[in-house]
Amino acid sequence: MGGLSVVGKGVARVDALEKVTGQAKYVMDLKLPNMLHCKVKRSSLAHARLLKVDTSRAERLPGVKAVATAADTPNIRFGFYVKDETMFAYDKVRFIGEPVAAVAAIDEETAEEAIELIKVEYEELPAVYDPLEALSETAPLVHEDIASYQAGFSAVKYRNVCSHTTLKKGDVEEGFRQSDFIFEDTFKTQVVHQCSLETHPVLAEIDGSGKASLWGVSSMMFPARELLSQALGIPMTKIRIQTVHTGGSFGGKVGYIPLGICLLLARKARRPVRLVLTRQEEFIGTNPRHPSIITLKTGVTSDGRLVSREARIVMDSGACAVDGPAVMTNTATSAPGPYNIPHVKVDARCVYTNKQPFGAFRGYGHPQAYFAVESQMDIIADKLGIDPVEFRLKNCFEKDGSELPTGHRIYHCGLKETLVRASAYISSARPASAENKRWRVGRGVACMLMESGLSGSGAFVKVNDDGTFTVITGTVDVGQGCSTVVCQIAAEELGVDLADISLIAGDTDTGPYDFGSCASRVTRAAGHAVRLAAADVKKQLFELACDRLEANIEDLELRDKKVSVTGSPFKSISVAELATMSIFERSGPILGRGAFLDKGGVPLSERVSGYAKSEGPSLQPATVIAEVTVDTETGRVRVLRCVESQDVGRCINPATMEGQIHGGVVQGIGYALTEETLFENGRILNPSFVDYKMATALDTPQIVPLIVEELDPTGPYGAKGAGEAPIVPVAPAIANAIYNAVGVRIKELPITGEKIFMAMKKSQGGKE
Amino acid sequence: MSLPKFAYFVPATIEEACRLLRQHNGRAKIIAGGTDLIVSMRERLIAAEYLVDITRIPGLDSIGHDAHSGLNIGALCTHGQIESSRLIRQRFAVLAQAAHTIGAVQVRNLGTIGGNLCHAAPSADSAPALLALDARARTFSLQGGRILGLEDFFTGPGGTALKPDEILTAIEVPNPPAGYAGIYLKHSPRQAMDLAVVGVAVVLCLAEDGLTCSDARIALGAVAPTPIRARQAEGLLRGKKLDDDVIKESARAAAEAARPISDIRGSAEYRKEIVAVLTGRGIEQAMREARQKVRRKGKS
Repeated sequence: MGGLSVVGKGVARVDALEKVTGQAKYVMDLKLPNMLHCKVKRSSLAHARLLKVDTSRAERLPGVKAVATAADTPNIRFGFYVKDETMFAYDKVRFIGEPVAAVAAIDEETAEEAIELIKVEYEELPAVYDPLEALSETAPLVHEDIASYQAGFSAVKYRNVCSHTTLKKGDVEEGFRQSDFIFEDTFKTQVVHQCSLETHPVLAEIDGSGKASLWGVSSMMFPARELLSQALGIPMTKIRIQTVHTGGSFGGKVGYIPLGICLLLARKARRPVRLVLTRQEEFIGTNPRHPSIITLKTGVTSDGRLVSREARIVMDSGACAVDGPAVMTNTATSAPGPYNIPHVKVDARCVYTNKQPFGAFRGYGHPQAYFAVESQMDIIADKLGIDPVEFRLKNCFEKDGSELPTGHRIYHCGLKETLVRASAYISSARPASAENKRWRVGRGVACMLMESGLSGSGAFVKVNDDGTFTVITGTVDVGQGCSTVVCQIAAEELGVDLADISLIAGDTDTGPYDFGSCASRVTRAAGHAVRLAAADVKKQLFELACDRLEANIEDLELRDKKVSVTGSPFKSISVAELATMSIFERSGPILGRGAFLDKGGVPLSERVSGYAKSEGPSLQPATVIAEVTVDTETGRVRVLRCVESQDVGRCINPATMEGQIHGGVVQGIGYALTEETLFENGRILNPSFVDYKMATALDTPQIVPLIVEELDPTGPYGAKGAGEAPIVPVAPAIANAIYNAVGVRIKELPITGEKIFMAMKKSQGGKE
Repeated sequence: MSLPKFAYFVPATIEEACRLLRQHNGRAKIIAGGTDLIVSMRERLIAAEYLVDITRIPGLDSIGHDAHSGLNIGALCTHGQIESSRLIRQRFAVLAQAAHTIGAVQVRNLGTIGGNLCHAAPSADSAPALLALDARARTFSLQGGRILGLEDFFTGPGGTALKPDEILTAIEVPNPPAGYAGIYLKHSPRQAMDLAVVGVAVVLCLAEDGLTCSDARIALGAVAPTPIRARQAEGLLRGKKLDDDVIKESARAAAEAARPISDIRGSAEYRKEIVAVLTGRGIEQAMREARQKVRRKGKS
């Protein structure tokens, strides 16, 4: 580890003690004097004109202090990518669960009672639930005014299509002519929820000057503040968002609508208001993963070289765009997989339906794409009689300089190493064995590549009078451990123990801008900003010390809260002394500044149309090898072992990184086998943990994390983003393992026992 | 949703409990562990203006046994008590197995066997095991108590033969013949914290030859409006040497006895198939265990 003392160590989380002793405060633990409780009235219909919202009886109910509806908001549509959202429905309702009104009352029971007293008059409209139907020329329109909506990119908006992405490279038809075999398969993925342990909570208070303080969980505080400012017509700096301890996000804790609702009610009631969503509201009213339909047509030579791929993708966006255009661009640009394919053509459409708006969830479009890509890789390998790992190694990108289909070149990418490490591990491990003859064992591999760490982050580092340091960042720890990681980076750069670093984070008023805890970006972006801010502090300390120590700046070093001359340890001055000297004799307090800007990213080339982000060159590659056993008589699957190797660049904290892999595997098993939100005419049939089935501890296999460190010089100490990759290859690896075990190929997630059973029955029937 | 408002009584005697039930005829519910009731009340699936908490009534939470009358389980015994009872694990193992598959440790420490039966979910795990053991329900009311066969106890999903002021006080399980073996098998997507898509309990006895089935009882959960016995499937085993064909035929008959619905947990077709698979496996496993017992007896 090249002389590193804090970075690279699996130190305990900085907040571990307060969390395990129950001292850590979450929003649900916060109470303010005179605090009111909020409940939201939600649409009971999937698509209807809103004729009247009568709140008069609710307002008269004793204990009710404020009721808010669309009438309390400026009628401005807002949104990250397409401005098609509102705080409350005002012209129409577009999904069951859409907020229509909200109440603040002295207790939850009164608020619930008031909600029942709000009478909503609807004129029901024909609805559309299936994204393929929504594409037809005769389908009901979810947004009639789509053409007038603003978008942050040159969106193709037509009928129910809220964004359209295409990618073209070479000539796929020519490629198919050069191919010996052509495969065409359609894959479907389902709606799954982030299922954070903590549901969305918000506490809002407006002070005497009219400034709103919002304690909530928002993994993207600064963008959320900007959005709230637009949506409610409030100056941005009149809104302060503070994030306290958070019980998980996984992309789901964007929360700007709950924040906005609470703010409106607090302003109207002139009292603090708290809203905590119920688990049922989480299921029906937040933004889970986009379901998708992905068709891949792939041409390959008989010796196993991929030549041509055409992909058609339909992504169900639900009632609003939310993250859809960006998620879909990820799916579209991942459709070729991490493979050199000379001819590629992708057509992807993101389609409105009358279901809840789908959003960001760990992996952000990649789990959908890679389920299709990596399932089809095994279909092809099986047909050609090539070993699946060899087939992938033969086609996958080289480490340096390979060109992605989007036109970007990739560097510092350890994808091949992850494949080699995982397969080497499994070949030397004891093979899995079946319980008895009714169970069959199978093994499957899948790999993937996604980018990390886009947009900007700023950081300050302050020198304290006692010679310790305070890191001030705009980032948010949503439970993944990034507070610890940024402190480790600062401690390393400043040559001190972790205990000498304190942290101020999660506050839009004190912290510099930070895009948020998303896109696997915190370690790489916020971490890099913190490292540069620490380096800035070090430079300032050396400038102060060089006269006193009569030495050149280049000869100074900072360690153990002292600046000393290299080679003469007795010639030193303490940081505390320098800090005091600076305040009283020089230019004042010492504050270092640092920033990460996504400069390495260049806009996607003209091969891509539609929403196209700039893509950073930092990649997070990973490979999973899964071993399963399948009950041949019932189709029941048990996952026995998952080996996941991931290239994370410099691993700042191995314990936290292994935790990411453990969590990704478990979440991936749910995606692969049991989790699914089921809809009937736009209504969710299983909005609770009774019938929404996440893997339990007993469903968790042996998990083997293998960490590959292919350093990336654009990240702190060579680190890359790493939070999202772990979930992505799990589902296709399990699908491939099931095929390996019992010879049935399931192309629709989740792969339930019943689907396997029916497929086995069909294939046996075919043979007889 | 929060709980609706209700009045809460904690009677000290069973008579007082019955009086309260009668007084609030139809508007009162008994609460013990509350693991089903509280959830159903929050979701507004069950309305109750009055809750009668019977957990302070003495004598309803013990497990007893005597050679003559068999096993007696108080209605307030928790699933945790049942799965960890040495007596039940040794002599009525099928019931311990069923109790062990319910919910999680926390649920099993709160939920009671009486509640599991009175909630009368078709998928209740304890029901098939008790049906296969030929258990009876003992009740109390101010008009006097009753003893009901468990098959007559269930009347439909969520429905029992209990009158509004009648309380289930105990489950009585007759002593099964020596050398019997029982097994409960549950099919669910997860290893824990899950409801049965299908539950099958098989109890059987072998003759001294270790091959011929002298008696058999098979009960099915989650595949009909109530937990049911599969009598035809049982009949196909009695008096027969249990070879693969006999087992297969009985398993098929059990599947035919099932009248499942299609819902989000599984299609009717799949459930029927699973009944056949689990019944076949249950017979095989019970047979192996019973055969060992016959052999041990032969040696001693």
